[in-house]
Amino acid sequence: MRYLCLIYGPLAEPCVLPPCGVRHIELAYQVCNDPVMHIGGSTAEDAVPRPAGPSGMLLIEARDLNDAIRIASRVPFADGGVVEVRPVRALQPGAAAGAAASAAAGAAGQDEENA
Amino acid sequence: MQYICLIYLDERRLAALPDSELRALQAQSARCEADWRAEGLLVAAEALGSVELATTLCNEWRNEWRNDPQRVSVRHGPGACTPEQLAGIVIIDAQDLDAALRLAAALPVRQLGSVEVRPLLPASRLGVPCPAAELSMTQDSVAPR
Repeated sequence: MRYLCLIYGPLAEPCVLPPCGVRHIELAYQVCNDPVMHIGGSTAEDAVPRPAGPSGMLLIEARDLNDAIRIASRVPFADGGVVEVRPVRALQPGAAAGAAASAAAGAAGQDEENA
Repeated sequence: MQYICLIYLDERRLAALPDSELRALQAQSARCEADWRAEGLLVAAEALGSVELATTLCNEWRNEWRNDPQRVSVRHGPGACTPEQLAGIVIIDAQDLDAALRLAAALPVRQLGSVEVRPLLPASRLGVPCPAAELSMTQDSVAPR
């Protein structure tokens, strides 16, 4: 099962992941603090309050949520920071499923999972 | 240069979407993903489970744990409660900022919410051994397996 770990707030300096977690990691990025562009939906820009975006993200492969928590707890986030762990959804296994499509299915209901 | 598109939308709005519209959006997104992949523009596209499935780790959850990097607390729920939730990420490899913005604007899911574009820095220091001892963890609660 794959999980996305979203790091909010400051990262520890130096930001180094322990080797015990590295083998679980598919992707790791630091995200620039300033959005270069916000493309709004129907509402005016900045009309909807939004959390400050993540400062980093990791895509990890874990056995289950507890395993994911164990890996994420080793992320070197600084005091005041949090790491949010979210399962990643595959809409149609084996088929190309866009992020939007999968997100849509994900939020639309759990029953889709068993389809 | 790699950019991340953070897709924010209101999950309730998505849940209320008629089935036909949902399927149309899924088809558009799948087509978009296939095209971008074929052109080498797409690095990753991941959809996130609902924020109700989120777990948040925090190292200052309790005051007495403050400044103690060895302690991490775990709680259910997202890091922040907002009207729009992060629903997915798309990482693109664009020639320049203009190209990245053009791609982000073309994301089909934009009909439903909003997209924020940020430059990415590869976590290049990844893999360097961490000198710190393994973190211990205290769990307030852990979801059932």
